[in-house]
Amino acid sequence: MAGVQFGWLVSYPKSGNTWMRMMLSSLMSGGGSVDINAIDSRIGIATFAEMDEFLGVESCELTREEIAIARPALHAAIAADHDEPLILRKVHDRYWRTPSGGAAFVPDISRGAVYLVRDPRDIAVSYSHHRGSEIDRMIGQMADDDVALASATLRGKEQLPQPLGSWNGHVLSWLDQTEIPTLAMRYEDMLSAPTACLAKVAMHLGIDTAEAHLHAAVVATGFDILSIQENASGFRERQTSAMAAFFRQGRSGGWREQLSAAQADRIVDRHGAVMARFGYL
Amino acid sequence: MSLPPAVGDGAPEIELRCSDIPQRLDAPAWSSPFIDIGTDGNVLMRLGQHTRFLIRGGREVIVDEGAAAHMPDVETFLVGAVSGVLLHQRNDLALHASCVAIDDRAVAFVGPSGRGKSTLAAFLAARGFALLTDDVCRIVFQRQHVCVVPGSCRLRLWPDAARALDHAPETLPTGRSGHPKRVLVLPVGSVDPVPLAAVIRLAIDTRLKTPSLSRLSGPASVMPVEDLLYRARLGRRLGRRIPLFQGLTRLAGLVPVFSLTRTGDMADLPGLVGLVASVMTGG
Repeated sequence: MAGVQFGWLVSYPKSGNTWMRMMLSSLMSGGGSVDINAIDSRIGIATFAEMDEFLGVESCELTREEIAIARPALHAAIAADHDEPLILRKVHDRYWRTPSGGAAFVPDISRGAVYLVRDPRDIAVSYSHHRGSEIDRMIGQMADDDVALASATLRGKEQLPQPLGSWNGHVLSWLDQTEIPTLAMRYEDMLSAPTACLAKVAMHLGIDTAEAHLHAAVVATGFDILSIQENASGFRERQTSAMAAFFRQGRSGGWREQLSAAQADRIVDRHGAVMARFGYL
Repeated sequence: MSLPPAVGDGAPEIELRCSDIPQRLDAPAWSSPFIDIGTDGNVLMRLGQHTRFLIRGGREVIVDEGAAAHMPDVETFLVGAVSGVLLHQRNDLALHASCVAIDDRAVAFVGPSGRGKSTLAAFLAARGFALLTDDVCRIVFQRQHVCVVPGSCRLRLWPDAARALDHAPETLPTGRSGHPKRVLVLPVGSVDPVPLAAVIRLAIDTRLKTPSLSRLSGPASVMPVEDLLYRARLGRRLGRRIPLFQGLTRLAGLVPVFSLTRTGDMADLPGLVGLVASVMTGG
């Protein structure tokens, strides 16, 4: 391997992954401004089109199992075709293995992963706005060990199916594996100390950077700036069923006004152990 | 099988037969879980447990004997991925496109998987256009004209697309056992090559309320080439980097290239008929 490696930006949905992607995108351009609708799509989630191109097959004619089996090979083929040493990719998958036991995110070609954690009570609220679904339904999905993204009919538009699972299972799958060095980063800490968090992420992924660029990247991707851009020209990654802006509030603890006591209790009952590990209880 | 019609003097261009073929090529120059490329340019394709093809010299396709019991699978890949390999081996230019024609003028809808090429072609085919090919679009240059060679009219549709085309998905056959996509076979629109009047690159932007059409020029019309060519990387691995790029730029010099951005909702389909017609009439 000529040293080309992935840096995985991993999270359960609605946990700050898009923001982190924009911060890193700005950082790698020396702290320049970002256009939320022109972020390099190659930083995005793996697609059918990529599998077609890199593995030479009609992936939309494959079964879910065939696609899953080929995921490690897809990642290897992308790395083999890449010019620069680091490939950043957004990931919502839990850490998973193919039926034959190979890790989907091939450790040999992985420099590291950044795992973004967020209070699942805030995720439930944010996810419900994003999907246009009732909060109770999202709480149910977050408890479902078998759920996958973009796989209900295999018609994920463009993204490959992504095994997701329950929120706590998702967190543990990445943070308890030992094959890929993984930095856990709390969304709440990104909000309170973004420059320090971005510095840690850059260091973990081996991205050379200067203090001034870190600060500039944080300023260029402040919530108000992303939100103004979305208000002015929309955001391509917002779901059509969404009931609110994608960059909706950019804060933590909003669940206190949005969840009933029973809803919050359901989340704590299911995910309490992992929530305690990250200081949410 | 719904293979494209023979043209010319009737002599076969491709020999298709059934025989025992190996699981893998020995010492391939490149391989993926689905494909081995030999140092001689021959290609072994593996799809699913039972379906294997050996594709040689752009003239010969050997289907593994074990695949005989899985003819829908064989047909699905034969008119798609296998055809793509054959065309690369034959030094032909193939767009990743579905194509329709009206009044002896063709329009090709180009784009990566998932952009709705087949759906749009089938929708237009139900409204007076003739379907020329789905997914793999072979191009020939005849003097100063660019022509589309009619190919497979066996459309593969996701259930939501089938419903948008007024077909109950459960009444259509599947192309692969256990796969949700459905097969819709339409009449072949032409046996002869049809002059290409326009290339339309499909994009999706869920922010749009109505579809939007614009003319592309310069490098933007052909970049990235992977979005226009059928399996560009596979072609490069078969040694075709330069001819593919030359073919595509020659095409873009002769045929206008447009970008059509859809809303991501099937409800935009009726509005596309007029847009496509305006392109065809040079409007």
